[in-house]
Amino acid sequence: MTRSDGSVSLPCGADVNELSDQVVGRLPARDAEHQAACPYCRATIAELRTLWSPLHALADEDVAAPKELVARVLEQILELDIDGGRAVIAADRGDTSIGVQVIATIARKAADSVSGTLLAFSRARADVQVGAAGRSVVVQVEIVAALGMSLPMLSAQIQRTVRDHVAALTGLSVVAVDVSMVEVAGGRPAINSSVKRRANPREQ
Amino acid sequence: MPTEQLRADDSVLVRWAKEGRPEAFEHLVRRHQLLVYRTALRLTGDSHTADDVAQEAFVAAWKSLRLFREDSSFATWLYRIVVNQASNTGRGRRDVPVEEVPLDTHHPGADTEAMQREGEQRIVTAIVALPFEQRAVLVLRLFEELTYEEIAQILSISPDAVRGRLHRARNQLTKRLGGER
Repeated sequence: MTRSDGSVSLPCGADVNELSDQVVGRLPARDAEHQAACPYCRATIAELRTLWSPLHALADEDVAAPKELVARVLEQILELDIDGGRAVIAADRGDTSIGVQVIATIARKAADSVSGTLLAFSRARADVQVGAAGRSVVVQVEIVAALGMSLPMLSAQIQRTVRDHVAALTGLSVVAVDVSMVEVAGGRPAINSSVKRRANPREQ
Repeated sequence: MPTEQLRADDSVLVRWAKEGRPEAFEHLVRRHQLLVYRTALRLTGDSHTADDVAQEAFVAAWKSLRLFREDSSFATWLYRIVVNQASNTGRGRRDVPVEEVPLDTHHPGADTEAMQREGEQRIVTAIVALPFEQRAVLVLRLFEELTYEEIAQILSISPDAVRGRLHRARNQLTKRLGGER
């Protein structure tokens, strides 16, 4: 039955639009008792569920972000930064130059690998974080440490690890690793939006 | 990995990222990549386009991070960016009249899984055929399960406008899907 406002109602008086909202949005029934007993509502709801089941299946499908997405984003935003200089290893057969960004990335990942480091920063600019002149480099890292760690011990471990990693992977001489503890943290995130909000379908 | 133990709140990471630390932004990207990609996927209906849209959305977020006033959550702000990015792509702009969407009405036997996949593909095609303003509301409501108020904030429209667009989107889809059966 079509009403004067254009909406359609069933012989029992139920609004078809409302039933459609309920089924499509998988919302709880406003009048569950009536719907359970009414043949018109039951038939309409069954029809709507069949109609919308592919959409609900799609909504329930697990989606995974592309594996390289984070790396590609990082690569792109780092390219936006200014190139801060290069360390050069001269050899008879030709020079090898290593951008400070490369050194900074190695240093950051090395610092990240130390237990007690929550987050390591090492910006790729010679004048700010990494100084490179010939074969010698000075690396500066900023650390967010786990609450409760001994910061001097953590700093010493980071200095050893960063120096060893940079030297091993680049062949450069690390003359100093300056560590700044910028924050301690240990709380839980407010939102983890990687997890879909609904754990279970709400359909009743 | 120690970095995976990071439990810093989004607002703390945003503050660090605003100070020019890409490492902090990396954590935000890791934390929100699924939200961004999933929204892009449902808006464009195509995984390759969604990949591009998601990447562009994060880069746009990095570039405009200093303009983020933090009067909404970072996730809400990201939703706004990914919707804008999707609307600027070819797939996002494509508002195909419902009547023009090609249909495969052939049902290949009783293979339930294949039929389900086909059903989902019909839905994806029908969603992408919606006008973008209706599609955005539908995706944010039914796939991301945001409230009318959250969607209104993301799209800078009123909750009533959200309700209206959702109603029109649902009617279009009902017409489309019901007409096939």
